[in-house]
Amino acid sequence: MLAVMIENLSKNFFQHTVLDNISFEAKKGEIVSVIGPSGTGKTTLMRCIASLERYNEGRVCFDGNSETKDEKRRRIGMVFQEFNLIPRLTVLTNVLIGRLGYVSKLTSLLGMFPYKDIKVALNSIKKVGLHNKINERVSKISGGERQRVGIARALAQKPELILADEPVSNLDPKIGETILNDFVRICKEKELIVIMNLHQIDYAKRFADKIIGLNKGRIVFEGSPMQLTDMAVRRIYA
Amino acid sequence: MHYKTLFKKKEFGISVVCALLFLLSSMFIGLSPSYFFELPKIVKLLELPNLTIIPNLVNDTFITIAIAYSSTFIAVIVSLLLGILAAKNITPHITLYYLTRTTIMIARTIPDIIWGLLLIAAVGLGSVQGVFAIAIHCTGMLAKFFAEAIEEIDSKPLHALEIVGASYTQKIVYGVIPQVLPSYINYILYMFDHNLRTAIILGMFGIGGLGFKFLINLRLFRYDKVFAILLTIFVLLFVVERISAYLRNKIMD
Repeated sequence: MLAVMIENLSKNFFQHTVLDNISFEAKKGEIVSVIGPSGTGKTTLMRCIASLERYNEGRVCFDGNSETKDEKRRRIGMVFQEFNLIPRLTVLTNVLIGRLGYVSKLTSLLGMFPYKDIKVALNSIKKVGLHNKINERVSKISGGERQRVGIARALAQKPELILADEPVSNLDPKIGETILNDFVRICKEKELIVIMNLHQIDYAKRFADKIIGLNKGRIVFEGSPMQLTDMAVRRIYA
Repeated sequence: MHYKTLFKKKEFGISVVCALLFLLSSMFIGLSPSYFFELPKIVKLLELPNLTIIPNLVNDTFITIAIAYSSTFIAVIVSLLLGILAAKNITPHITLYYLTRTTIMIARTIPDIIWGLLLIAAVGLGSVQGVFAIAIHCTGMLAKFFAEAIEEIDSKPLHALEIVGASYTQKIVYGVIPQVLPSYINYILYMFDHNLRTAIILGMFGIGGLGFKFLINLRLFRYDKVFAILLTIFVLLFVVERISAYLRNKIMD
């Protein structure tokens, strides 16, 4: 079964150790949630897995295969805390951006996409429930809807792994919860691997299959939501 | 009665220095107060514009517009590329950045009139000379504006593009251009307006159009015609400004 492996990942920033020998595994269909105090390296970990940032040691791989950065990237989708959309473009165009790695460079520069890629984008939009806002500009839709577009863009990429960096912490709690619920349901349906940073412990307990507790760049807890006792939480946030 | 001033000594000092510098400059160039009273004499020149020559000005008006439009167009095309190279955050290489910044700085600091005079050697006297003179100077301005607009964009969408495996050009087309487009259009409209005025002024240096007609009639003391030309210039600039304002509003929403 497909799994993504993070092996002995370390990152230093000058003398300062940001990530210290991080190793864990996430299997197909599994939702792994990373929790920990802010400034503890959660976002850096995401960015390293996504190869948006370099790391000093270790590796990230699918099933132990060594792939180039570009090959790996296509298999990884990402949902961002601040959505990272382009406000002036429509919902459809923003989602089509998820297909850029698959389509011909030249035609995409002229704004042309093959029908089959448009279909993939439209399906992702439907999945997140925005089929009535396809041609709306992102600047005209609400925050919750924007994150739905962000999720649709990641799905359009047809990834095997989705990284979600605090996907709902910029949203009103009630809307955030619905979106997280839908996001997790879709990922389960598609049997994707999800690695998700969360700062709400109760969300991690409810939605994750496995929880990783990070403190000062080090893994201090790894286990199921059941195993995350109050004691364990105190240790993570110590 | 005792007074206390709210102004600082420094502010007072700066005002005095500014006034003194003005006095010094006036003495240097022979500007005396009596000249201010002679200003109203300009009214004596005022004659009713000779509107019958307006039909003869149509061709010159189009020459002026065509010079301004072609030079803006060339400048926009060149600046689209140079703007990218001169933006620190997305330039392909830092050497290219410095090279482009220097080039556009030179293009900008040399006034269009001087470019026009220098270009005579290459393209001769006439409208083409005007087009290139204005285009070079305008590229210096636009490329700088464009680069600065790019340097101010939100970099977060670019991270999203990076993760989908987008190429450099795809990042520019989907991540950069949509963000800078409104300000680009604003700058282009502004520069067109500016270039139209420059085209009129350069007209007097032999590139043709309304400016040229203005100078000829001024030298012949045909003030009736001079005022007809001024009226045409005024209407032209007014109409262009209205169109720009309309387009600007359209783009903003």
